[in-house]
Amino acid sequence: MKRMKASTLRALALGAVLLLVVAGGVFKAGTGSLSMFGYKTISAICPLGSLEALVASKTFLPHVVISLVLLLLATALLGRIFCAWICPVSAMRKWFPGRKKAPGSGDSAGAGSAAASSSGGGPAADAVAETAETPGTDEDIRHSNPYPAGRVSNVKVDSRHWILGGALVSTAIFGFPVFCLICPVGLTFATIAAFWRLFDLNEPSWALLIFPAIIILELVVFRKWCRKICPLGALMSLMSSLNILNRPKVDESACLRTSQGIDCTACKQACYEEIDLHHADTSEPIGECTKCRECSDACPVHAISFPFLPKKKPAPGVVSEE
Amino acid sequence: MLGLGGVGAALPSGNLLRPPGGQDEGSFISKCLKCDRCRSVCPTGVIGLAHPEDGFLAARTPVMKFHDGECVFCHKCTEVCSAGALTPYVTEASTFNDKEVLVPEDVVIGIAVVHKDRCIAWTHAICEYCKDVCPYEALSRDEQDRPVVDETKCNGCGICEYICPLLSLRSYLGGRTRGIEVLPTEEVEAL
Repeated sequence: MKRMKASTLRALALGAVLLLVVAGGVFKAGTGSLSMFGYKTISAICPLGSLEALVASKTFLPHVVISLVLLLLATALLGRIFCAWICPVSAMRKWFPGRKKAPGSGDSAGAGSAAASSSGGGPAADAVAETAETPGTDEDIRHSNPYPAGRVSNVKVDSRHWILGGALVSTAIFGFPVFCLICPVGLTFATIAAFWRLFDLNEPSWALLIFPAIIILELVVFRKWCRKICPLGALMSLMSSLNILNRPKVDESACLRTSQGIDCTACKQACYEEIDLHHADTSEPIGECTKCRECSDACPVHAISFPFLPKKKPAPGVVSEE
Repeated sequence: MLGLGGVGAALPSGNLLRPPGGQDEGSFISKCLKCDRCRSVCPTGVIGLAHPEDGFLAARTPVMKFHDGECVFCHKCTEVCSAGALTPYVTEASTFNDKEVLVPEDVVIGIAVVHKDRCIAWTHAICEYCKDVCPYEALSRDEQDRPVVDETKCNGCGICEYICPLLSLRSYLGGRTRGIEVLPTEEVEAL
């Protein structure tokens, strides 16, 4: 059977989520949206919303605390799967493509993608390998420094974390969940609800224009919303640094870099989170991985897999640290 | 973020009719995550969503829309509100017209006000729709058979506003206000 593309699978997953939310609304199940999804008294509450509600009300809310702890533990266990598989923003951001990759990002991007696209089969790969026969550079390319399996990731504090802090401080001062006002996830479902009420109850409102406008503004003005702004992602990244399951793993005997010394950077280019599986020292932390599997799809020789459990043994005959 | 919070706090917001248990507005707005669960679970459909035009802060929060239904105090909205924005309240079972009704003991959504310039009974002829449906006997008739609200008995369930036929029978009046309307308690006290 032909393997489905990861982006197709993700679209199906998101479609299922949307369908579930809309069906819950249509059939009066009271299941809610991604801000809080549940049945009767059992709820999974948005971790950021939970924190905001606790901070804003300055009261101990048992349901909220339990949901928060469980969801953060789930993030630690499974990583940031929410971002790639459930969050509608990761799908919508494709409609607003940003500028092309910033030039001078350190790697020979052009050569890499050329190698990646041309070396689908053996002969082409060999040809590229022969041209890069200079021993020194070849060793440099072959040298791989993957993130050690089974070890927790480091946390890199960036703009998202500052926005998370700002949102919580602001929430504490003003006494209401501030980020929820502009959260593109919440606004997506609010837009759906607004359209539903327009057709169901003939109830027009400015929400029909304002909510989508805010989402578009956010995705267009802050092009890399998920990487630079999203405080929910920031909160999750704090926990996902503990994640060791389901990490991307390069089969070094198949990878063009490590086995043949070809300067292929297809996996790095494909990664929205800018994780470089071959250079743990210069890469974004592996804890930022959202398990979107784009790297696996981009790899011309299908060398990247996502084993559920970390395997510690290094591939034979390949230079690798530890 | 601080600016956004400041703008949200600074912009004026009117009194809104919240679902039962959400009457303490400060506490409500601090916990409501705008998740849509209470609106979706409401069996009568009376819970609607505030629009951006109801206030920047209030947009997407639940409000009572008595043109779409009435509150039967079934507790379903407070049950699904895990964030605690809608707090549980106490009801006592009673009967009205051989049907069981729940009488809230510690919560009042709002208070019904008769618009004497619009109400059919007050301006025209006899109309007893609202009086007949009030499960809490908060509506009585004066000596000219016009509806009068007993503010101490009214819980703001809104069934009188829901049933009021004014906009159908006298649609030529225009406007969106019916002959009787549930208003937030603060506004009624200020009248």
